[in-house]
Amino acid sequence: MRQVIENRRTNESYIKITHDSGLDIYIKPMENYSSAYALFGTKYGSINNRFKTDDDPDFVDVPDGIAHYLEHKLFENEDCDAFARYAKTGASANAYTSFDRTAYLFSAAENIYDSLEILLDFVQDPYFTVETVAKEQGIIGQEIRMYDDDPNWRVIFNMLKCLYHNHPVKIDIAGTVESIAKITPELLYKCYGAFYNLNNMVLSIAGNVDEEKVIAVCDKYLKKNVDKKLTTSFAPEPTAIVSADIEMTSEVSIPMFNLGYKAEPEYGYAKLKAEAETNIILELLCGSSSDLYEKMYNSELINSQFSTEVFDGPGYFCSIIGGESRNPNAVRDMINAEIARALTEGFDMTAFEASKKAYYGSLIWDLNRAESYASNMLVSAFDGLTAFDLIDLVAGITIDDIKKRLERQFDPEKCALSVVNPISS
Amino acid sequence: MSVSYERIEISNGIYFNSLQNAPLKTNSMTIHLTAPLQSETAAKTAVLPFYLSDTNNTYRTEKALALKLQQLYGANLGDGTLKLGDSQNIQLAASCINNKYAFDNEDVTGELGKILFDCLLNPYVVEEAFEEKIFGLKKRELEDSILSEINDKRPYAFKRAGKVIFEGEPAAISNQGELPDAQALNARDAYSHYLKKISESAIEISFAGQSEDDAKRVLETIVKPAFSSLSRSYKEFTKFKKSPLKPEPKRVVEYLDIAQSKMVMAFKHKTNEKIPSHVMSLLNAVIGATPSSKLFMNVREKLSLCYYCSSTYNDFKGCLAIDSGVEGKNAARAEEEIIRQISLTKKGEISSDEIDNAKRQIINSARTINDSPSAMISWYFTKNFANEIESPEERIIKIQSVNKTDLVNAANTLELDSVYLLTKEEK
Repeated sequence: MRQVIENRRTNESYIKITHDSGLDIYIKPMENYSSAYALFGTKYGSINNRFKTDDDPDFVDVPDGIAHYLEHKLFENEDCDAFARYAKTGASANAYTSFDRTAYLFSAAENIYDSLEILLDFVQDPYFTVETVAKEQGIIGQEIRMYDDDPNWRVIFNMLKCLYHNHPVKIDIAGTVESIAKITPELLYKCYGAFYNLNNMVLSIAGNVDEEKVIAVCDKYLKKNVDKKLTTSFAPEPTAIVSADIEMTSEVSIPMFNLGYKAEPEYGYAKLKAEAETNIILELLCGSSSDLYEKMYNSELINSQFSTEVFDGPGYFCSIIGGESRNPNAVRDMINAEIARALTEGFDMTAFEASKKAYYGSLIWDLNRAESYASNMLVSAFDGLTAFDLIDLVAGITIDDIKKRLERQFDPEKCALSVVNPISS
Repeated sequence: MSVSYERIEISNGIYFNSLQNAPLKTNSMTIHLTAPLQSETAAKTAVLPFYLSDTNNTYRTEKALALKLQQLYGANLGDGTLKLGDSQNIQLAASCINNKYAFDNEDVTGELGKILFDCLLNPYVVEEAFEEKIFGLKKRELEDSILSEINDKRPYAFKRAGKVIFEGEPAAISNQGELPDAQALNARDAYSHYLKKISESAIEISFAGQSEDDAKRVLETIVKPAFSSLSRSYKEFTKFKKSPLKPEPKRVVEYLDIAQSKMVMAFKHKTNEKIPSHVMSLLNAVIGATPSSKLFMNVREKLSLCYYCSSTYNDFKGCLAIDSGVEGKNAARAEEEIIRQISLTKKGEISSDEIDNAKRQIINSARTINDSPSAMISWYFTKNFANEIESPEERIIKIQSVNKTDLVNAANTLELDSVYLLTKEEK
């Protein structure tokens, strides 16, 4: 089935194909572009360590880090490595595993359809043996150690451990050296069978592409998959946090901090609305045009590394404020005081309108690049939305929406501060 | 695709580069100021973009400027400092959505252009000095930025290695300067240094957008008037000089409490003859710049010795650097294997597949440049800096012409110059 997804506000459109194989395909031909960017993704990330399909009598638990491990191993087929195949087309290929998805991608300006064939072929052709699985433990073990040295990574995971009692979002995406030691070819096939079913996947491609040619490659390479009714499960997560503070030391010069506010998770359109409104709130509370930012910056409490982020996915939602500070506790106190002030006095209308406009502008930027277009089509499809929903949603947000969201999303009782201190202090 | 490029001299050492590509929905403007990298002035120059990008004489606080940028649909105004060859380069860059996407047909590009050039040429000044309080904060910002270099271990190791590789040359100097120099800065000296920079630097202005009309309008109504009253004492200077090969490889080990060690190996040319940059670019791709390269396939994939092991070629300095993330106990083996891969290349053990794969990778990335305004600006800026003006399409033709003999001859000019290791001290 073919559907054109349109947006009047920007006069933009893209195509959705519901393919017989079970896969949803999103195509955005971009006139006069030289390159194309393709993503073949599954709704499977590091948090999905408990699941069940029609084949399973009960839920199955798998070791931490297995989604990421599987991503690494999929590049290797029986006869050849996918990178070696891409080398013949010149495409620049990669893959990533996040908390809630895994995606295989390439960017190419030549031999685009040959590269698409490779992408569809290797992702559908797993090959795991005891030897190849054992070999990967060395490489991934080194990747885990590299992240152990990354204070940006440590500061956020320590914060997540303070916010979440049970939700697997608190576990490193790559797992630990101990957990990956438990991974076997059988477990990899088990996870592959459950999550790499085409009914759980999306192909998204944007840029210098022709719809008919994309479909011709898909028709040739996609194997029909029976929907096995995959369900995932997470241990129940209390609304309260685990602890309000955590500190560690590392090779840094200035203390780094992440301040997180835990909130109730949302799904679908409600999630998108919560994300958009929370982003605007973060800008109004402590963005670079806010009174509080000016106050903290001018008193040398923060520097330009200061940033904010909405961090959410299945079963988790939090707002993160982070940066470098010689007094992270004072930053927390000032942000909590500003939240309390905003709850009673509200936000300034001029600042609200300006941050909405800035948000809208950033979404127009995304239409400029094949990478962000393809990524937005994929991410929104996983949430059951279109890539344009956010543009229309942002245009419609009111200051009342913001006030209501502030009450729900920023509870100082559910806030945790993670600090990485220099070793010498 | 339909990209046009034009370069116009505005006055002595000031150029306007205009790039158009039809599908762009945004306009991007960048100003690059380039001057010799010197240890006495590195920090003094590095603080300038911090000050200039956050205020100007119209928007005197960061808050006021940030609000104005939000009102211009989240227009971006950024800054940066980089080292190119033996030069220090500072940049101010602005970008915004094309006017046609504005709700009420506002002139977003014109307003942003005016702000950007005000930031550069009409800064907030009080009695022949930068404003004291704001300058103090920006000075602190530079100090913090120098202090934070250690946070990201891979670039930190690469930077530390640069001090060994280019010892005694300007390229060894940090483009941010050293901490004591940053701490010693004051608002008055910094302002007089700013005046000197504006007068003496090579200035490249670039505009990348959808229409020629936007570029012309920015040039005629903003750029030319902004520079019309500026007095210049620009003189040509040596931007880069080939780095000499050390008589014996130098080894330096530094210690840090880290789980994964970082090793940087540098190879330089033993001959004075300049190897064409497209030949070195392909050789670099064959050795270690792509996932099908010798280093990736052998040192990482086959032997699992490193998590990353890749090469970069600094054409200005004539230096091939290989950086790797390696377990401390494997560092010696990794070094041995890297040297073995280079010597195999010298002996001509390069397959036609390796050459073709590397060519395809370079050609593919060259073809994607025109899709990104920042990549286009950066491409032409770097080419002008190197006095080697060519379009990505012209580069592709040159890359296609390189053969195995060219690569083997080029590889045989390379010798090991330095090995730098950042590792945990065994107690």
